[in-house]
Amino acid sequence: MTDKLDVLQGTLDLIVLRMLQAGPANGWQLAGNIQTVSRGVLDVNYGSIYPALRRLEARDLVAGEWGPSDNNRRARFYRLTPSGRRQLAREKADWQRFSEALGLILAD
Amino acid sequence: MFRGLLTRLRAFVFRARHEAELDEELRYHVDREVERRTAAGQSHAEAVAEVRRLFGRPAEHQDAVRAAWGFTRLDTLRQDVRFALRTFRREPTLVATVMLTVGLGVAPLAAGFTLFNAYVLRPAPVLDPWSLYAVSWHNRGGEHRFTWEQYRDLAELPAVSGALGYRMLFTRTEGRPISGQLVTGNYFSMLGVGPALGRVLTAGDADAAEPVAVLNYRYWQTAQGADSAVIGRSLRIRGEALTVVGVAQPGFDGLEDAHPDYWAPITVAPVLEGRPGLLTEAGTDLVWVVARLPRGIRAEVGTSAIENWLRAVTADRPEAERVLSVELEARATPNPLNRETLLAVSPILVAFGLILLAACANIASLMVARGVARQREIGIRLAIGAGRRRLVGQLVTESLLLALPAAAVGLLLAQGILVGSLGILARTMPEAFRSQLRMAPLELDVRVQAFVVLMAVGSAIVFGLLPAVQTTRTDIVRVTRGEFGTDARPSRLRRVLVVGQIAVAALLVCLTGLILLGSRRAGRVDVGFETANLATLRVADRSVPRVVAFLQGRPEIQAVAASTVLPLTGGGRSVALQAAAGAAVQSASALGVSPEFFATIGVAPRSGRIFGADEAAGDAPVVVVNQALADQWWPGHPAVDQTLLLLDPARAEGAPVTPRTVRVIGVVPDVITGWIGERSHRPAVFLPVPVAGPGQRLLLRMADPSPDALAALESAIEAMEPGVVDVMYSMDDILAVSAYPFRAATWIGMALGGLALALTLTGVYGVMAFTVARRSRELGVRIALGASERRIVGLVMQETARLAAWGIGIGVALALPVAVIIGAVIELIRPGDPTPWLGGVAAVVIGCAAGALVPSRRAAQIDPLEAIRAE
Repeated sequence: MTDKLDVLQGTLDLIVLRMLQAGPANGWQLAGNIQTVSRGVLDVNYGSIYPALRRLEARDLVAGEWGPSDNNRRARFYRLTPSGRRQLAREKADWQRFSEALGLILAD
Repeated sequence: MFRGLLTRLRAFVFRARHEAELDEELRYHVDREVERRTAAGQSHAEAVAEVRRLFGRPAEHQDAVRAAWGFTRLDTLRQDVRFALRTFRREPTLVATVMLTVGLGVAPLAAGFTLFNAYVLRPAPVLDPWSLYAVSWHNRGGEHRFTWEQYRDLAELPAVSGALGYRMLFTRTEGRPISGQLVTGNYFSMLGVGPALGRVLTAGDADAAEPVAVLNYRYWQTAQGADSAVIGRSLRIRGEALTVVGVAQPGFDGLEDAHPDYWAPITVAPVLEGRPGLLTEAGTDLVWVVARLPRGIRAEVGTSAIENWLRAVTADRPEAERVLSVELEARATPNPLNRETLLAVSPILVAFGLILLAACANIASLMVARGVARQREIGIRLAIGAGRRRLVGQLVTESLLLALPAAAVGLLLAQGILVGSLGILARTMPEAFRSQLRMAPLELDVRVQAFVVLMAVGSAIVFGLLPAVQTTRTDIVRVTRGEFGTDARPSRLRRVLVVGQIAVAALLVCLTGLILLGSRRAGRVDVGFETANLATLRVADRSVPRVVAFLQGRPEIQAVAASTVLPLTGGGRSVALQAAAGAAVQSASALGVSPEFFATIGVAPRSGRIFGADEAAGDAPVVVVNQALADQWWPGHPAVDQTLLLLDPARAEGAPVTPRTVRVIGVVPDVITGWIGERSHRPAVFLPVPVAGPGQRLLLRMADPSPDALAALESAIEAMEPGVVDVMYSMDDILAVSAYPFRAATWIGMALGGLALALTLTGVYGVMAFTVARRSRELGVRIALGASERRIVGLVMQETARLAAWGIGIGVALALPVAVIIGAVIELIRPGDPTPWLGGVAAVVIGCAAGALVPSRRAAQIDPLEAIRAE
């Protein structure tokens, strides 16, 4: 499992928000999408995605709603709220500045 | 943010559903994962096993999710509350003690704050009260109001959105004092005050100078029996009939402390007051003005706008009469919340606050003792992994839970105190003044409740946090071994607390003693003249000569005199004096008196003579001085025929108004002319005024100034000249009402001192009982070794004495400067009196000894065998 990275502390919220920008999704889809989009590098723990979702919901950044899933079972779908959208833009900008700075520091 | 909180709260409330949903969501995830794996070729059993291995138990994840919701904190609180309530059920006495003690501690403060709220904080029930300002201005002569013309111009200033004007009129009707406010026509409309019955005054009433009146709701209820047929009746003021057209809405008492009984148009003032006419008079103090500033205009802006206008208005006057400054005082509340007000009320609030602190000290001490008793429980909880923060949180929760019902108890007690005090006030005020007693409604409104809850929660933090921090310092290892006894810290804290209590008690009791002595002195103060045969009277200016002539002809009246200020009521004026131009300036009180004044009060000149009638009528440059002034200015020399330069005009009506040189023609003994709390030997000059001058107080010498005799006299005067009597009292009543503040202060002081002593007694009891319990092994050993009962009692008493010595020392040290300050202001209170100090210290010592009595006896009765075996 050494080729897989744990999600960096504090970035999971950003990742979830970014994933939801594409449209509403349920927890299982999110976990799968994160793995797919990161080409299998990021493995989102089942035990961390749901707390993250609840945390975001409590901060009114995402809203959850029950709906039918593709295999005709009830699943909880999450979508971005307007303030979630704003938060995503803010955090994305912050992260980009941070990673640029880190790139400069680590440059040989 | 807010919606997030709502979501969370909803989730917490509908918790069961929420948990079920979470469960379903997690199960969905697991099922989909298994599905995916079987689709990829794993067998179903294999996939289930794999997923379960990877994901762990759902319950763990549920916990993590709950934490993300912030449930844990709410959970903790709920647990703490439940745990505290369970503990309280086991200790009902503790709960009762705490509630009662904190309730008692908060109650005086709450009662005091209710008064403060009624007079300083609660806005008048009028339209937009916070934009109202009373306007006054100063020139070198002092504070001034406005002429009618100035009022009209002021109301038109762009910086002002409206202004109302008024005059107060204090008269008597049907043998009782009545106060009226004569107001401009816009008064009620500008304040947005409507009628409870009939109508309010209108601009039309004022324009036409209609003789109509609107009654105060309270006056209508108390004096008119809430009779709805009152409309159309007439109210006789100064002999004029005012037709009652309405009753103002309940709760409206005007904007000031002097709650008027009725309102009438200001344009009827010339008739009622016998003045030539407001429009034509040039005086500076005819109309009192309250202005409304437009929204968004600050008081400073309004002040400078009015100042600029007044500067232009007074520019052509002599320099001394030009405006120096303009003052705008907020009129939303009867008294503005400013530094002066706070300074005036702070001593009493501090005294009440000290009581609360003393009560808190008792509770904290109790809680420490309880904490020690709970050391085993707390030690065990620490040992099995409870965080210290969590334990402290638990103990603070307990304190808060105790504080809130205690606040309720405090509010109830405060209500009782207020009702009781008003009852006492109504019964003990000199009877002649009782009908004038007008209190603002004392309501325990939201502000008072918030204040009390704040105080109670504040005390909860004082008495909850200190012991909480202490208790959790418990050493786990020792506690689980069963050793609790050796940690000395809690005792030290409790001793500090009890010393503080003793200090508070000593402070309050000593000061109360001083006030008590001052009060007794006020009761038999030698004012320098005999008051028993004197009565005082004030009549409408226009009728003074006729009334004086009438009185002089009455057989029961032996002498009639007049003065500009009534002796013993305070309110005297000061003048600046010089022996000659360029010499040092000193001040003295100044009083205009008629030639008959000294003979009437039964004081003969020590040297020289008193004015003659011609001197009084002709405003002659002569004065009589008192002994104190003579001693101060010409010690060892005769004062008669010396000259003085009067710099400031004595600004009482009828007194000379220009600085000038006067000759001393007589010296009289020192008599108290101001308030009785002041010094009798204050230098004073007496200027001649005619007996029948306007605006003066008449002083009558009569054999029997009883209420009945005065009533008969009043009706005789009224029969001759209806409605002219404005004020009428016997001099003894005046004296009694002047001394009343001392009596009231003594009662409050005694109640507070008693409460502080009671708290000290219980505090000492608690600490000593605790000490004895903790030292029972040592004491048992001592008894086993043959210590006598007396020696054991002595040991406990010795410790008590140490605490008492510290407490009394601190208390007396704090009381001394306070006493010196009070003594400097109020002559009757003398900090040098030894009795209050000795008495106060003795009372506190006895209180401490009484508190230690039971514990010391218990110590002496310790059974040595049991004490040693117990551990």
